[in-house]
Amino acid sequence: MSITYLEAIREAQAKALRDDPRVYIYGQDVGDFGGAFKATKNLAKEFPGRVLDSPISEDAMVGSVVGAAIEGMRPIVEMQFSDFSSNAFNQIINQAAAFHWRTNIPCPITIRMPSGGNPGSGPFHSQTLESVYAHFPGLIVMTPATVEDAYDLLLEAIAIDDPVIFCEHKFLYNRVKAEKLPEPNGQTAGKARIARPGRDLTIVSYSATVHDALLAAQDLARSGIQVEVIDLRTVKPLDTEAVLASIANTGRLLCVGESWPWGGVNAEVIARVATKGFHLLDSPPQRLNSRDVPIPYHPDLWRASRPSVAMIVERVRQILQW
Amino acid sequence: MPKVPIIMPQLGESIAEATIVRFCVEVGDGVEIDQEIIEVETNKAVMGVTTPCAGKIESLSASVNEAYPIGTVLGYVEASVEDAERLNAAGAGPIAEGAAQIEREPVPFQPSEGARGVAAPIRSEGGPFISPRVRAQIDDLGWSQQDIGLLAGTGKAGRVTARDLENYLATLESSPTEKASAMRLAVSDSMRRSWARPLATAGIAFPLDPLLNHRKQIEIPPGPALYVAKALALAISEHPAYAARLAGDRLILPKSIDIGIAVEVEDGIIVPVIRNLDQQPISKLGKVYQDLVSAARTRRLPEEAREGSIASVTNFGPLGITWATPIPLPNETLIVGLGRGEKRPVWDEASGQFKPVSMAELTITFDHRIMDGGASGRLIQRMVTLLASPDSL
Amino acid sequence: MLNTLKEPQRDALQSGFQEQYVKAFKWMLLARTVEEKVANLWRAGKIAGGVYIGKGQEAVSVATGTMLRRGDIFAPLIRDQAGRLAFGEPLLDILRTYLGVKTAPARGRDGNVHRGHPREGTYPMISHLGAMISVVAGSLLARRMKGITGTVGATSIGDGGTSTGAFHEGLNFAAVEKLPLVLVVTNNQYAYSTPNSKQFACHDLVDKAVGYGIEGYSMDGTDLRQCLEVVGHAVDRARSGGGPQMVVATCLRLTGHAEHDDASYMDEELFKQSLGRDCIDATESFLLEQNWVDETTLTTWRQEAKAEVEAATQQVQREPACTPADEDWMPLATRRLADFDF
Repeated sequence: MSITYLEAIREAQAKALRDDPRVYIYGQDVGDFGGAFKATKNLAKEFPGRVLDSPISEDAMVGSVVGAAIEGMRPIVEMQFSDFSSNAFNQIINQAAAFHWRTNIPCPITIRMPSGGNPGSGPFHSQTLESVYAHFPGLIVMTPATVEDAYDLLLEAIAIDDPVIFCEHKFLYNRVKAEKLPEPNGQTAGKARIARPGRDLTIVSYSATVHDALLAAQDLARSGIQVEVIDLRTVKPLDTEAVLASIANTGRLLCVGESWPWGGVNAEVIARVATKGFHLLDSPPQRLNSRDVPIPYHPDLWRASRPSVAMIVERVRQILQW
Repeated sequence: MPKVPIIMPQLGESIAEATIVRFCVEVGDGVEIDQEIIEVETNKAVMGVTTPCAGKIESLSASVNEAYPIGTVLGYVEASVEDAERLNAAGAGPIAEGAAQIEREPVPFQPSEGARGVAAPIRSEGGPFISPRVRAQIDDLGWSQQDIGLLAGTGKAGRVTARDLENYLATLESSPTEKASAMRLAVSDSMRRSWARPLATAGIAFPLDPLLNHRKQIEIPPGPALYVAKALALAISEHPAYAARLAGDRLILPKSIDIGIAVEVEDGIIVPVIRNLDQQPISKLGKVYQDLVSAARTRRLPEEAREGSIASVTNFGPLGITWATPIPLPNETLIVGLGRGEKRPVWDEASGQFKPVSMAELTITFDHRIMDGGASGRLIQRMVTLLASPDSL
Repeated sequence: MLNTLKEPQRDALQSGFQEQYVKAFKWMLLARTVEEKVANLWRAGKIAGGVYIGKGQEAVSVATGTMLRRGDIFAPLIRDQAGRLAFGEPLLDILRTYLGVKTAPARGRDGNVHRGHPREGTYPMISHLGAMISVVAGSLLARRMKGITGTVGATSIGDGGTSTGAFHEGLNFAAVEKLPLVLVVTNNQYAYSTPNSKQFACHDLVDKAVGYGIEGYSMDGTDLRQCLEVVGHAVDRARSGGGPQMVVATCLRLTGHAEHDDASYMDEELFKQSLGRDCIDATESFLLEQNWVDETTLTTWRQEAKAEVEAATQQVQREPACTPADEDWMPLATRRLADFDF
């Protein structure tokens, strides 16, 4: 019996709907249709009146859940693709994110963002926007890489009294599986985990690229190179302590992420390490991102535009020769 | 009577100042609250400045057609005690004094005199670079950067990596260790710094008998090292450039001939300094030296004897060493070493045979940036000449 | 669906109506008075940032505040002082927010018209026009889910705001869900310096109601009686399940976009037309005509309003200002998740 990343997301939503009458799901095609990726399959039937279809109006979708939150509800909004959240940008950053700061009243909404590329998905169905939202004060941004974390963090996101941007990775939906679901921890947000311990170099990553990093680490181990892989799990707040502790061990850092390089999560990690962990570094910290272009459609171009296992291995070797 | 300021208001978001168009009142006029008293113009519109309270115009300090920044005090309204108290209090309005402090003219940048920099290359790959991590590790260990130089690095261009350092430390772990004393560390540091320049050594043997005979007549006889030191002091006083120091492109000449005499103490060397040695008669030096040695050995050297030598003398004869290449202190240009005296066969032209003569080697190590072989030879010859006639000392 | 009321629904001479009318007028007068005071404080350099007043639209605004009940939701916009007062906003809130004292509802974190008490039904706006429509609609949806019936949510918007995408999405969503939303559109002829002719191409803003599938009503925004009747009707319709209601009031903005704007671009002719008349003057005339008050009473009311505003101002001027030392700089409700490692 195994459960996929997508099923874990569905199970978490079902549990939240079951346990808390204030929770409801709002999005395009989420009702009877079960969602574009079937993340809400059968939930409308099981929880009548709690899984509602919206018109194609991302701005109004987010505005409306802020209004519902004022009334004490704990809504989950499903963006059909994270790429379309840009239509809701104003309501996310100026209405939801600023609400508690301005009124001292919490805004407990969760915005699910199906993120990341698949071969052929193209520029507007592939984006990873965690860096954009992490930039704005008042938001929590989660980026689970595993089935267990998708489940645990989504439940925590719904329970948190602040707006949470939940970046679930589409590539992982049906490709990552686990034996079973964990007992929800409720305190996982903001804590990174060591996905693989090592001595020679630290890779800091999150979401889908954690898996690429682990494969690269496996490959490098054959040459006697022990890479430590840190999975951030949440990018805001960012577990700086965990990153520094790892670099205290290894002295070398490579940040790997699928989003674009300028001012992203990788840049943020490196800025913090340079400021607080300068004395721990034995070589200049580096980052590996997708290329600074809109995400290409053709599968071969797409693969060449994003960090791959081979690119990670190559970069680690370069760093170790410094 | 208490008064309340009339302030230039912020009349639009990016407005920084406004120009007075006309005054609607004069000094002495009675005014009501919220009465328009000044007309001002911004680049957007003409609008009015109103009174903060009722009262009488006490003064107007602005002029028509002049522009004033927001927050400027344009005048005062004589007001009731209660109004003044209320309006001059903190909560009376958020136009902070800061608004009026915005500099109109930026102060131009003046680079400081004499500032010199060595530009760092923008791009640099590995190389003889000590990473922050390695630096932190050696600081922790109490090493200096020179110590790192002893290690072979496996990083790019021979860079010593943290891993290299760790591996080296691991090899040391299996050896017995003991803590180095503070004295040992001080000498170590001093010698390291001294070695950072090109040092060369020249030597000459000289007959000991003249000074050995001379000292018999002195109540507290000075040792041979003191004769050598006095000879050195006199030779330098004749040519102070022998003991110059180099700072950039300038030679710093000695102000006074202060010579150090190396003394062995418990776990190292101390070099007490005799000031103006060229002016001190040899007959007195025995006592002077005795006092210095006991002070040095009990670590109670007086302030002026602790440092500042321009050159020093070290006597390793008692250790059985005939010659050596001593190293001057970092602040000294030269050091003269005196080896063990021994009988040597010396050719005597007059009698046509070898005769046994008590000889000792003088070796002078000098900073080759300051002095060349020729000068060193002349200096040491002069010393030998003086030592042959100890009465001249 | 389109319905332009010309005749009042209720008998204007009913005594209940008189009481409501008089009360509304007094709120309008207070609103005008406090806004004049705020404008003067700004001209005395006592207020940071911009001051936006609702001169000319007090009638339509007060009608909204009057017709809503306690327990309803009101998301006012920038020229809704009269409506806010009628809905229950304390006078002190206004002065505290403008004068930047610690006791202001947003404690200095937001200012001027961005004030409200969401749990008490007044939503503080954000500057992006149209954004509040979906928020109010979302609250109404939540109430329905919680089984709360019989409440209404009202929000104001201007002629300029109807052009935004947020307006469209919010209203469309409310219509699809048939929510009890009352959208009060005040067409004061200008959005900053932009006249209607450059803002929209439809003949009359109320025509948009057809496009959304909702009920729409027009009124003369300078006529308090009409405003009370039309807004009252719309609120009743929404409350009884008629779905979203759009009411459109026509009047003229009798001031600049903000106090730093002298409005010299406005068409002089408009001031001479009936839509350019001052609703407070018109209301006073009506009161006198109906013999509900005399001149002396009006003078007394004006003085009382001034005194009330002056007293509130002086009280607030004695209160301590916001300071950085009072700030905890926490943007999150969940303190343990604050990220301070910068």
